[in-house]
Amino acid sequence: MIRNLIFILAITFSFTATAQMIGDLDDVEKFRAETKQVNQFFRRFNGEENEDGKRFYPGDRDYRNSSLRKSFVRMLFDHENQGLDRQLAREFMSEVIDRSNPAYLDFHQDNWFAQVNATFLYEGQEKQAILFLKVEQEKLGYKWVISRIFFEPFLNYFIKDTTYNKKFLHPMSHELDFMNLKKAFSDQDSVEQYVDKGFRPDYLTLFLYEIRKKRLSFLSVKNVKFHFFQIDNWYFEVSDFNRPGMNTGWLISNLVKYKPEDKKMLKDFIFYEY
Amino acid sequence: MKKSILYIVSLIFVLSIQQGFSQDDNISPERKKAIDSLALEKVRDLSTYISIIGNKETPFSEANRVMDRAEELFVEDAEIGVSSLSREEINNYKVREYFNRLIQLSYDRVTIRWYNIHYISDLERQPDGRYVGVVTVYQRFEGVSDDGLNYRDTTKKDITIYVEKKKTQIRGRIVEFWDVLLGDIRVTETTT
Amino acid sequence: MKSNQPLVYLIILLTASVMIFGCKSSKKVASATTEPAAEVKEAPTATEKPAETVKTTVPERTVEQKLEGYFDEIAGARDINLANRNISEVLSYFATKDAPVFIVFYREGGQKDYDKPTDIAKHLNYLKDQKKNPYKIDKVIYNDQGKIEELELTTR
Repeated sequence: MIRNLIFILAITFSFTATAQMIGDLDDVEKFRAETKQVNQFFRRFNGEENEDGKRFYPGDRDYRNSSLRKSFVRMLFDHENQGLDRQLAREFMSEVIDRSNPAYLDFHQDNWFAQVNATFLYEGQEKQAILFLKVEQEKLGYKWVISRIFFEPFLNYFIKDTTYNKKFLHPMSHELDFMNLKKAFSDQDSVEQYVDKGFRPDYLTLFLYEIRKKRLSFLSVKNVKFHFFQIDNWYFEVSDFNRPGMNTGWLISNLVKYKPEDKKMLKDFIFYEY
Repeated sequence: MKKSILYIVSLIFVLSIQQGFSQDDNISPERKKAIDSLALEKVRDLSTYISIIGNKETPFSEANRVMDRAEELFVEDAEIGVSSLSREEINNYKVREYFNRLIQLSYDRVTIRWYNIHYISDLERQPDGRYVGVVTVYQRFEGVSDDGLNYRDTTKKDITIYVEKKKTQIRGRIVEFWDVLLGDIRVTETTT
Repeated sequence: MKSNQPLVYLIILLTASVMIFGCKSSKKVASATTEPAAEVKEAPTATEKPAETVKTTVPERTVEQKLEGYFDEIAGARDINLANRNISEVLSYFATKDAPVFIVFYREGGQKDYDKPTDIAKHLNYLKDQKKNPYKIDKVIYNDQGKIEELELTTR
């Protein structure tokens, strides 16, 4: 095999310990095509760099060039995902590249966030937690901050019983100095039935509390993806694909066109709050 | 720390180090390009140091000296997170720990070749005014032992770069310089 | 690489790789021609120093050329001992092995951007370890004894 021959010759040419350049063209082409960083996803989507990753700045001739964007945005989709509707993807592309009203992504603006699936040690067992992070401005620059958390072990404690024989504090309880609270709190499994209907558990507060109490500790990050709501009426998800071929790196793995009234539902779904 | 002592000894002529940021430390596109090249050069320097450290023929004292030099490329407490295709979890190593592990592997010949492709992100400013960016490079590591054992992988390395304008006083004169240091490195095995 | 590609291609590729490797360090980030007529205040220049400390009789060009030669030899040395011998010889030109070395990596509007200052001993080891010399000498400052006490380099 010529590939092997190259390897042998390359070894012969090298010193015993070297760091040098390699020109394996297939691999180089693959890596060139790969959307290597989320930063590159932004730049490609916006048409702010050329095919080799050379940055364009405002004022450069090809900065945000629409035909460049057309070819880039097409390759920013996960082509192996059968669940991605091609017609919908075409509609999305024509909308964001629309010459009269183009849409761009902005790293520093709201309406995009990260989802980090991480492993924690909780009460002696490995458990998955889902962290949502967003970019926040502070002083001279920016930082990522944790905005929400979903942690399944907490979930079971807050499932509200909606059946007819629901427990409650009767409406005249106040006349007896709420002495029936004793009964309400005596059954730990039903205590959540006594709270306001608008109550939403705040998992992040609980999570921090458990960490402070040293019952919960971080192990590692399992995977990361990003959710974008920056394009009006469109939602898309960006995930990392490490696989053979040219369609790799950070790519659009999910695309939804939604009505304004459905936005909350969609977000609740992403935040596991449905 | 040994690193700090070495640093102090070698920069004995430095009378004092000052640092500070002002709002107008903006980086023009041209300057950004120059900083990118500087950062990339440091990444390449690191590859060479790793090759020397990983080579069995390198005398221990020499390997130690090179490890010190390589460590100087990094900010303090930088970590290297390594994952492979065969397992999901990421192993995190302190920089020095990573180098020591490399010595223990002790290949007779270590070749690190980097692909003729790299990607340099924008420089983003963090709350303290320091700039941070990520340089992505692809490398093929080959470790060969005399008894024929051969280890080879292709990895994507996402390398954090910190860029900070500093001032130092050398021989009674204030000199401004750009401190470009490497931070955490994420190493992912790739499929080629 | 596809197995049906001709051997000629392979040879071209290898030659090209060697050439690229050979010149990879010669990346130009700043043009020397942008060197301003008036020096910026904080730049280490000979003109800034009190006149009595600058020995004008030293044959500056020759030493510079010698140093350039040494630097290339150290970077190109296949043998560590040879590199170390050259390092000792170079150090004898310097007032101290801690003599500062400034590296200019960019120039803009008469302003020089420096990399973190290093010293000559470290710089020589850098050339030896990295097997490359991506810099050229810009300025040499001598003390009364004719020893170099400061060096300014610039990326090629």
